[in-house]
Amino acid sequence: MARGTKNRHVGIVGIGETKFSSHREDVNQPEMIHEAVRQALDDAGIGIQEVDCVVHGNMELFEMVHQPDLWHVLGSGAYGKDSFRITTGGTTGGTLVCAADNLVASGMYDVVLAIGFEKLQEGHTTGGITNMADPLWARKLQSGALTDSAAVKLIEEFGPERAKRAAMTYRIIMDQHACLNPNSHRAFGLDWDQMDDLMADSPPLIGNLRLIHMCSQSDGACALIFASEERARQIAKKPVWLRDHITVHREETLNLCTNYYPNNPTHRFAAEQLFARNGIDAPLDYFDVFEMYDPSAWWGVDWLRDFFLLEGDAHLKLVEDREIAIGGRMPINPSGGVIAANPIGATAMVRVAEAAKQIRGDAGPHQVPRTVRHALASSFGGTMWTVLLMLEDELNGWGMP
Amino acid sequence: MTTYFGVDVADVIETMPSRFRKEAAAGIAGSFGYDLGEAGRWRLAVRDGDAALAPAEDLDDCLAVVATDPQTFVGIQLGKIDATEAMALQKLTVAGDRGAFGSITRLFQKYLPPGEEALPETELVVLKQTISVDQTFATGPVMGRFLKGLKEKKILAMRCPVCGRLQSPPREICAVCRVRNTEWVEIGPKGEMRMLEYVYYASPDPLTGETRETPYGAIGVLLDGCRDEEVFWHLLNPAQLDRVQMGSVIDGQVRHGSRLRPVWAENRTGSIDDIQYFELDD
Repeated sequence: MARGTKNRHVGIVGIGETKFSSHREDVNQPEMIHEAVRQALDDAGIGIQEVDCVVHGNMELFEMVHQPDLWHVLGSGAYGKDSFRITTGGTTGGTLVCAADNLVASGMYDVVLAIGFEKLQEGHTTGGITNMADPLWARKLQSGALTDSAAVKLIEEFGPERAKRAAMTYRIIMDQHACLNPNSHRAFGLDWDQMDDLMADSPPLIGNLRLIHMCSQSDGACALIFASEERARQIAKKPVWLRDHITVHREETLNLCTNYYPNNPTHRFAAEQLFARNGIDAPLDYFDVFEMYDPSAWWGVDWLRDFFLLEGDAHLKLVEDREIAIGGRMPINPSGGVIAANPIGATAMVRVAEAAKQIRGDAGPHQVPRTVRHALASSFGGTMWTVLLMLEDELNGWGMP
Repeated sequence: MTTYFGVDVADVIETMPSRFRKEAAAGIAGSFGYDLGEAGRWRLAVRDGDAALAPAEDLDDCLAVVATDPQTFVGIQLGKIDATEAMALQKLTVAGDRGAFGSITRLFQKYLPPGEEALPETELVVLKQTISVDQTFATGPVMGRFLKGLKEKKILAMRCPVCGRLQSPPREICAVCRVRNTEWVEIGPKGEMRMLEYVYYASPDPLTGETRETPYGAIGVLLDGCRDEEVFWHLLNPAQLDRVQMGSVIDGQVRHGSRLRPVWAENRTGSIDDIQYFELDD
């Protein structure tokens, strides 16, 4: 694959996130996204007149409203501006960031506002995802985003006891992080002494995937403002630089032939490519925090191996030794991650927003207690589509020809 | 005192007598305890349609005592925290007569933060809609030939001319090799269980609009003639969910799964339903 380099650097200069919740009947869609847009503009200290282009995205089949960007103009501020709409499933938020980055890096626009949102309460999430499947075969068989495949894989390889404990350890750490994040939709205050009860009693969804392992269905929006290097330095005290990103797809929405078999994950492929072209040999040492799109605790555990290019049981040990906790060697999702809040079209963008806040050092109660200079953020959609993004606190001369 | 969700916990407690609905309290008599951690311990005495609230060290004489932290208490009053969820997480416990305590919670008017008491209740107007859409999907020549095969009790696959892998249901191209598939192969119809999704969650079937009956098994079957990841995606006879074994390949080590055979539908129309499900081939 031929790939060029950036024409110019791009920084994140404004961040907005609504509180995530199971229900936002108090506002309609444009009003809800406006909360995030207003916050991002205030954070950047600019007015909407300084935004050149608006990129907007969610997954239409959840709310069954088509072209919501048109409805949302009053809330997004896109009136009279160039605007693009993006919808790539679970990765939507990540693709929005990639698109905004490319639009600014190309020189077409100096300041781009990206908005991701979802109001899952207004539709049916599992029904929506099942309708994404091939109508001739997979719709009959697919049960939304629920699958036991990661649990089957981990249990086959490491035995049921160790695998189940690792998944629940991951889950409790994520809940502890969620309790620190005032935006969390779900923060239970789980304790370690509840581990055995949760493993035994949480209602099963599919096989060993239980309700407690799975992400929520949330309402909420996220907005990010991107600016060219020159404008970023004028606008923000501390722009966060988007160093590089990669998008990797599989064959189709749901791989009909190999869907139900542990498959070659695009996560590992994406990580290998991204790290190699950025000269990163030891990602676990290089990055200070990772905001992962982790739809369930099982996937979260399994994917650590792929994203950090680990072998054997190194990923399980990271979890078992609680090195993924906010004060650990590699803090995973100090925000609580996707299990804590999942407004799908915003979710992947929230990963980037949270990673950027960590680099700025103003994440709040869930700020990683050490300097964060290099952050990784991932997006996930369909069967293993990956968007993987790197954020930096300094330019350091990378990325330019 | 401390505030939670922007509300002073003392205000929630102290307004309890004034929020008491006398008309609903007829016939209820007794004391109820509130152990609110750092917000103190309180006794609510109900008698003859009146309620009196006082701090209390000792709550032993109460019919029921609710114990929770002040944040959860305020959160429930404001509707920010779900009481059932708080109980499930042991953040709220009720000792003594739980039924009696349940009746007492209904005796209070909703707490409104200072300044909001005078506001008329806001009605949230929502619009409920259900859509139903008739759809017709073209199969195309490749999927069409495969579906016609099912009518004749044949499971067809296409082979990639470059990497040789089989795809079934067949695809027009091998996306990995970026070439058109050309060779048709008949596979199965028997095979071996590779992957079982033991589904408890009742999801909607978008083809019918009905909620699926649970539990059911969605499976990956390695049909005879296929290898590695070339599994066929269908359903298992739900009566045999607990009798099947999954096979696996880890580091080249093969463990075989249960042998399965398809159960064909009586009337076949060229659809996924032409196979009812797979069952054990004993």
